[in-house]
Amino acid sequence: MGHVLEPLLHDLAERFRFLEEELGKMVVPPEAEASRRQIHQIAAKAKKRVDAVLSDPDVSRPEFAKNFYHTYKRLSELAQAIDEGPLFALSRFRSEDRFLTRVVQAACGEFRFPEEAPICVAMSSQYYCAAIEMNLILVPHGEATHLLGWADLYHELAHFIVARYESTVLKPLMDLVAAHFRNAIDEATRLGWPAAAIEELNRYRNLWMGDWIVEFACDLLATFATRLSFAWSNLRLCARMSTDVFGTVKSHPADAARTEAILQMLALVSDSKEHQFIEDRWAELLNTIGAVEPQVFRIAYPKILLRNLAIQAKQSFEVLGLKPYTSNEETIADLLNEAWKHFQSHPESFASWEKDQIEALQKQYGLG
Amino acid sequence: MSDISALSHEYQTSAKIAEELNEAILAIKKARLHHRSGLTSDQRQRLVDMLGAVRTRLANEGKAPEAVVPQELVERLIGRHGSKMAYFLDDLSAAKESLSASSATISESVVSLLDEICDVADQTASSMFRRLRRR
Repeated sequence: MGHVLEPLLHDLAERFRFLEEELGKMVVPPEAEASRRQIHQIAAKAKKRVDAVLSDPDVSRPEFAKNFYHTYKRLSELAQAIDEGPLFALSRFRSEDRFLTRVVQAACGEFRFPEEAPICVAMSSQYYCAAIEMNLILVPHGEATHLLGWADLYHELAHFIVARYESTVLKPLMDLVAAHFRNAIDEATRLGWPAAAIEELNRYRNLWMGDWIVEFACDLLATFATRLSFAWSNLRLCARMSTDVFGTVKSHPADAARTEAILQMLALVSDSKEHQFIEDRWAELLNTIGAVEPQVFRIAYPKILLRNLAIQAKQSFEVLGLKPYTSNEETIADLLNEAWKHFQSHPESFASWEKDQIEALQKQYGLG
Repeated sequence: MSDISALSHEYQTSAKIAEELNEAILAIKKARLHHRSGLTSDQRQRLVDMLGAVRTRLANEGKAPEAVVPQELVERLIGRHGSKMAYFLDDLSAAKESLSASSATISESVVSLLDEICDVADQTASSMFRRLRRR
């Protein structure tokens, strides 16, 4: 071949050989076996692809060089993602990870998650997050023994659904966003708004069509599947981490807008008492931190759009066959709602109650 | 809840677009070189859908495209074409039309267009992959 790509492809083939061998001989607890098998197959398939490129008679032709380079890059990223994600997690899969994976599996069954449940490991340095292509959820180390953040697992599970069922979940929501901002921009133009103000509308539309709509969809699904516990968990996260609840960053919409979307979904799936309770606590938090809604907030996050998104999302989740939260079924979502209720009413004794609940769950899973 | 999950989603979407376009371009180039049949009708249709999705996003129509196109990919294309966007939208329409006619030979201009979007999707995927690792 004699091209710069040749040694790189041989190096990549060796890396996939290593990954395939490691994953092939690895013995993992039953909770992680399906994941090990799946990632092993991905590594084996990728190794075959690298071998096929190496033996391709056209690989040294200059007119193909860029295309084979692109192939090399994607496969190289895959090798790194396997090494740093599932291989790392599976080779250190501990009792906490077994437990959390069982919790995730139970939650998935309860709200009819339409795919194989991902594994969940307690080794994140980035709060809760999901590596979608690797079917992996990561949470901080302490989460295996603390219940109040678990509703965020549903938000992470939602990322898998949103990514894998884009046409059912994401597309209708994006249609609503695109139509809303198209109309808003047309109207602003007709009314002679300054160019900078119209550009601002364009900017919001682009942010919505990027990461924002995905985050909203995931919040809406988590609320649909857990109701109050996700609303509480969101409130706690806002209290803990918000610098400006009305401020926006590119990757995440404003906390206040997310809370409003959660309230819109709550209005659809819970009774008015629950909805009002969360709304009141949110108002208390805003008062406490002295946050004041800026004028531009309603231009970026119109109430009507948030309401329509919640209505559409609920319909899409139902089309997918997902089950909304219903109380008193002894599910994980029930446990989380109970946890939040107990935490509100008896914060001083919550730690011991929580410990008992987690031990009972571990015992139920045969992991105690 | 962290940025990682949304980035992971966007990486997956960008990488899929880059891979699909790259495979199609390889198939077209190989067909030309070895005088054999190129894209299957399924491949052609997927390209038509993808070009349609990119066009819808760039044209800012009041609806979302059938297939999701990452915002960063859209922004990179806007950065490249800026004030000449109308011509690029015409090129996308022409390429879609050409690929829709299953018997038509795929012209050099269509390959160049596919190549450009493939490059942009590759850059987007690579950039997201690095951001996922904070590098």
